[in-house]
Amino acid sequence: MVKKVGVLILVFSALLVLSCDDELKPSENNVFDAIPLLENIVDTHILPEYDTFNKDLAKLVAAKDAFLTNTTEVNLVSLREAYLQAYTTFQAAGKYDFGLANDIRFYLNLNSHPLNVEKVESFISTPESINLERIESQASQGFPAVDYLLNGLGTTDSEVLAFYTGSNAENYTFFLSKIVDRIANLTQQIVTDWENNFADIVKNDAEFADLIYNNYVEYFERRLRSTKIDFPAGKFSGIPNAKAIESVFKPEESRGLLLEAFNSARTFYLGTENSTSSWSKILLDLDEKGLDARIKLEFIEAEIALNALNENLSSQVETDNTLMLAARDALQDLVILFKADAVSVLEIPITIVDNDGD
Amino acid sequence: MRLVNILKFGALATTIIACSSDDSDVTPDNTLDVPLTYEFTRNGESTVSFGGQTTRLNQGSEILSDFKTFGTTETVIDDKFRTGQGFTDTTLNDTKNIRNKIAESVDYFSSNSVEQAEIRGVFDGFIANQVEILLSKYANADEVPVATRGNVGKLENRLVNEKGLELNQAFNKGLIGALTLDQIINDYLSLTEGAAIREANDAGTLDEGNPYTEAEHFWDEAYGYLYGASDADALSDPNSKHIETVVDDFLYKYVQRVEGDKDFEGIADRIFQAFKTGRAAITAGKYDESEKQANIIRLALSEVIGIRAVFYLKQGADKIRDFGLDAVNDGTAFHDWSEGYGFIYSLRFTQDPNTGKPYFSKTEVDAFLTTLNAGDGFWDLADKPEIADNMAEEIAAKFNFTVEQAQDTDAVKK
Repeated sequence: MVKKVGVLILVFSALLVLSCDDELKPSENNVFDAIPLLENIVDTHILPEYDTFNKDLAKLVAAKDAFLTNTTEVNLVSLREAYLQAYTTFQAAGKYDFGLANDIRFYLNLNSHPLNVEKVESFISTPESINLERIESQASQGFPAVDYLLNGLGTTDSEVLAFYTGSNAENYTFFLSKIVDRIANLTQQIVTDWENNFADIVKNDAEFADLIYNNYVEYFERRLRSTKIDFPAGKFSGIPNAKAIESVFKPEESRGLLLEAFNSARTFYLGTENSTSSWSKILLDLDEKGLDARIKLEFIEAEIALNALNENLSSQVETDNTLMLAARDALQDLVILFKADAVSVLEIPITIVDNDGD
Repeated sequence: MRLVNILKFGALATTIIACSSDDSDVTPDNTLDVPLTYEFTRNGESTVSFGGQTTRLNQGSEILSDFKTFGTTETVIDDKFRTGQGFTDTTLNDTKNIRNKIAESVDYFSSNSVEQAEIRGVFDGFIANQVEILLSKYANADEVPVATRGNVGKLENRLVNEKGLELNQAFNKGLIGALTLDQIINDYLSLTEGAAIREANDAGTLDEGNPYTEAEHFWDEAYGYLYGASDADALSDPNSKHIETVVDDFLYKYVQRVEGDKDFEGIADRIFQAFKTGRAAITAGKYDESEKQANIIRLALSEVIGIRAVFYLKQGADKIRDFGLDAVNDGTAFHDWSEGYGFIYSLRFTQDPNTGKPYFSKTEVDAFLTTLNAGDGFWDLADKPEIADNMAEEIAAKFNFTVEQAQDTDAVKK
């Protein structure tokens, strides 16, 4: 886990000890100019990505409302499209697990998989027991729950639709509505916080560069690599679990979501076409062209490895898990570059530690 | 915004600490002959003795292992706890026992037997409860069901009550305050401040049949409650040997943990130097100096309790935020909070040398515990970890350290 603030303070206090007699300049990074980078990260990555996601969620809520008003196959298909679109743009917005997003467990509440189907079913059958804020409900909500409600109840549209028109329809629509509204509500809280003042705070405090870098590497390792690939591939348990993938009830979408997350992580490193600073540009400015080139090359190799996977990652696990493990290794090469090589150049303390208790 | 306020606040506090010198507090009276190690002699014979303290600390360790041994009865643990008998390690069987030293200090409990009885009852309760809900109910850990909200069980290898609390941690970390800290800073160090004892010390009157004066011995007993179980060579500089491996289960272990946090580097040596210097001052009859050193110890050891209370509250909350349900299911977050619970209980036994009072009163500590026990306890805390954050802020606010400093990042992981 990351003790984000604590480490900053430590580093910070070390600087201060050295500079007691001098004017205190706590927000200056000696190695690179953090403020322009932070401005770019906030303005060309974080805010637009949240904005896109939030707009897609508005469409998802609208499609859900339309479906509940008029439970037709046409509306089910539209709702499913809106859900997939939002799940897709979530892959970018889900990268930023700090500030309020961390406080409200944004990523975990929106995308913990595999889904706890048993608990979801019990929520559906006894609506008064629904309490999505409880920590035990973490894996019984979010996009995996929507996936189940739209794709997992039956194999054809008419089978799925039957749940929303049959004798138990009220319970199903109630839960669907709760789940979708909660995704939208949690996201809106974060968007509002960024817009209110968090964006300005981050852009004006160089200390956030260390925190954001750590958060990025942590995301890359723990979510992009582990939850999306390691766990289904059984990397650590030795027992593959094809059901642990994202979009398990429509598994042919799973590689697409993975690629979306991967591409977003790559863009975060490189910068967008509108970015005037990025982690890549910082390395180039520091005369680390070789390191930057290695990172870019590993991104290409990882992309090749991901594209070699079946679009249905469950099938991939079941038919040839070695390709999953190969994709995992390709991402791990990047993790190593980020956690070892780049940090020594950037002089950023890595604060990620494993949650292995004692 | 919270994060940045924390950053600024932390920076300010570290600045003050980084730029001020507190050397004056630890410089010994230069006319005192302070040895390099905690070795004091009279006529060639060592005058240092703290066997009773070592015994109690080791008795405590065996009781702690009983807390995790299925089939252990309440009678077996009570015998050890109340009468000092029945230990597997028979060398621990003694007229000395832990219970009659809990909440026994001259400063806080000499005319406060009501609260003393209440506190001892709390520890009795931890034992009885652990036996009732776990040790007598299941044959082994494999039989224990996975804990859920409102239900006793296990979270990986952690055994928790219906609120997610590990009773063995509450017992252990609670004893750190109620036994070790209370005995050291509120009892034995204070006892050296008595007029009659000083008179006898000045007259060189030795304790009957022993090579030490009573004042010297009281001071050494305080020393023994901190270092007495660390190893057989507790008289040399314990800090030079135990940074990585601490065998003690009580206060000294956490002095070392705090020492491992760069923000508090030097605290272990400060405590050791104060013990040595104060002891030399007692022998020399320099009571201003011994009182000064006693206050250094009171402050530092009280801070250790406060720092660890804050550390565990925050660490549990951070794990919940970063790992969510996984940090509940693997037992790590509730383990942190269980340790924190015991350290919070221990806050009542701290002493602010400026006031002679605990940093947190019984009422204040009870309020913290009520919050932690409310509803489904740690399960509710996991839903709203900001409750733990706020409590950490409240605790740190009364001490001269910040929450951020207490959130150690480089220490030995525990």
